[in-house]
Amino acid sequence: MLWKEWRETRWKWLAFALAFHIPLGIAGLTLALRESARFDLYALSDAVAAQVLEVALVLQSGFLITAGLFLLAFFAVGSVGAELDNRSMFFLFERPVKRQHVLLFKYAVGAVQTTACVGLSILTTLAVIYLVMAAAATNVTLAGSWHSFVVVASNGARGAVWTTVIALMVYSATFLFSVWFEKWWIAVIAGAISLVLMFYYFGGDLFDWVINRATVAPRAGITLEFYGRLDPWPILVMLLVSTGLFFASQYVFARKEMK
Amino acid sequence: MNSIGEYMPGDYAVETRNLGRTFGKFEAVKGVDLTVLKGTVFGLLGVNGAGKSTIIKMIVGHLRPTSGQIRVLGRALEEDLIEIRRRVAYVSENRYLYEWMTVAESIKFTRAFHDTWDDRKAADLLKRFSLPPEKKIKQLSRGNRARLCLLLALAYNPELIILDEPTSGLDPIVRRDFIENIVSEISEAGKTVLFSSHIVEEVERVADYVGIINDGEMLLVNSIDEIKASYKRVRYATNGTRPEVAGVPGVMAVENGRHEQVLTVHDFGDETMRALAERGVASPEVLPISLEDIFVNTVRAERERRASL
Repeated sequence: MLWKEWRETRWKWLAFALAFHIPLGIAGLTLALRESARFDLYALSDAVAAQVLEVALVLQSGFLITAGLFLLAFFAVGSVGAELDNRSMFFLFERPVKRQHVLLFKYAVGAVQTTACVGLSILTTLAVIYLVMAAAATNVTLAGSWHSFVVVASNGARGAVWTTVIALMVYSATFLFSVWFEKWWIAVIAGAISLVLMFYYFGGDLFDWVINRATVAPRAGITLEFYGRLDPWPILVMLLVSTGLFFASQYVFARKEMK
Repeated sequence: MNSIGEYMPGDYAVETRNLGRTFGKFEAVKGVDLTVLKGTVFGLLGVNGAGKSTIIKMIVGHLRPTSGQIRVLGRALEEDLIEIRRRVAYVSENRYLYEWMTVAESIKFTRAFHDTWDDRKAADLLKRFSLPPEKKIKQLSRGNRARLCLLLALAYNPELIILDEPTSGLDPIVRRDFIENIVSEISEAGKTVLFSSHIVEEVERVADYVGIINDGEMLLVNSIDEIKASYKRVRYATNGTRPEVAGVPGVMAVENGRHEQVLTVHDFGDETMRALAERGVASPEVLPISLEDIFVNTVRAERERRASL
C-alpha cells in the first residue's frame, strides 16, 4: 500500500512542494528578468534585509491563506474521489483488507503530504531568502542580521505550526468531501469552505496587522506578532475538528456501495 | 424450483435466502434463493439488466441487500467479509486494475494482500497467458486485461471463484480461451465457480448447474443435465388439423410449421404423452432441447404470464 501511494503521489508531492513556493518563484523570476526590480546589493544592509524577511513572511502567509488553501483543496480532493470515480479502488475492495485501514492509510499519507508542504513552505521561503541575501550582499553580515532573522523565523515557526494545523483541518474537510462525492466539482465547494475556515481564524489578524504596520507604526522594526502565541486551545479544537472530519469520512466510506 | 437437492448447509459455497435489492423504487432483485454446491460450476444466466450483476455484487459485499441473508463458504457475509475475501476471488465485468502499474507490479501488489499466494502458479499462468510483465496495464488489450484479472484471481488458490460476465467485450477466440482456462482451473479438486453470463453457449459448455434469472427473479435453478432431462421438444405431424394443446401439462411454447407442430414442454413425462394421445396426436417424436431453447422459452413464458396478469 505504501509503495502504491508513493508511486501514485510522488509527482504530486513535488508539484505540491513547488506550488507552495510560488511567491518565492515569482520573486526570483522578477529579479532575474527585470533589471529595475533588482536590489543594489551594496545598499542591502542588515536593517533592510530584516525588512525584506518581514515582507517575505507577510507575502507567504497571505499567499497561503488565499490561493494556498485552494491549492490544498485542489490537491486533496482527488485523494479518494479520483480512485472511486475511475473505480480503481474496487481493486482494493476485492482484497482481504478492511475499508477502515484503506482510508486511514490514504488519509495519513495525504495529511503528511499536504500539511508538511504547507507548514514548511513558510520556513523554507524565509531560509532561502535569508541565505541568498547573506550570500550575495556584501553588507549583510551574519552577525548583524542573525537576530532579525531569528525574530522573523521564530514568528514564521509559529506560523508554520498554525498553518499546519489549519491545513490539516482544511485537508480533513476536503477529504470528507472527496470520500462523499467523488467528483471534481467538490474541489470548488471544499476550497470555498477551506478559505472561509482559514479567514475565520487568521485572515482578519493578518490584514489587521498589515494595516497597523502601514498606518500606525510603519518603522517600528521587527515586532512581528500576527501569528501571536501558540495557544493550545484553538490548536486542540482544530485537531479535534480534523479528527471528527476523519471519522465522518470513515463513516461515509464504510457505507459506500460499489455500484 | 429454487433449491438444489437435499444437502447440508456446509455443502454450499454460496447460499442466499430471500435476497432482495431495490434502487429507489426499482426492484432489481426479488427474493432470490440461491444455493451453489461446493466443487461445482454454477452459471447465472439472464439477459442484460436481469439482475445477475446485482446478485453477484451483493454476494461479494459490494452492494448491501435490502432484504435477505447471504452466506459464503458457511460464513455470514456481513460478519466475516475479510475472511471470506481471503478465500474467494472475484473478477468483475469491468476488470478493475490500477492502469499505471505494469503487469509485474500488479502481480507484486496483489501478492502482498494474500497469505496463500502461490508464486509458482502465478509464474505459470503468466507464461501460459503470454502476458508481457513489463507492459503497463493501460496498454494491454481487453483480452490480456481479462487474463491478468484471472491470473490475479487464481494465484492465491481461492476456494470460490466468482466471475461477473467474465467474457464480456472479448472476441470469440479470447472468450473460448478464457473459458478453457476456467475449466482447467476448476478441474482441481474442491474449487467452486459462480459466474454470470448472458451467453447461453458459454454456460452450457462450462456449468454443472444453471440459474435462469429474469427481471430480478430466479425462474429456474437446477443441474443442466436434469434441466435437459425434464425439458423436451415434442414434434408431430398435423395432417391439416392442429390439435388443441391447451391443457397439456407443461407446455411452454408452441411452434407451428406448415405440416407439423413443435411443443416445448417442461416436466416432460408419461402424463404429457397421455394428454397428447387424448388429443389425437399420433406418433409424437420426442427431441432433446438445447439450453438456449429452454432459456428463451422460460423467459418468454414468464413475460407472457406477467403480461396476462
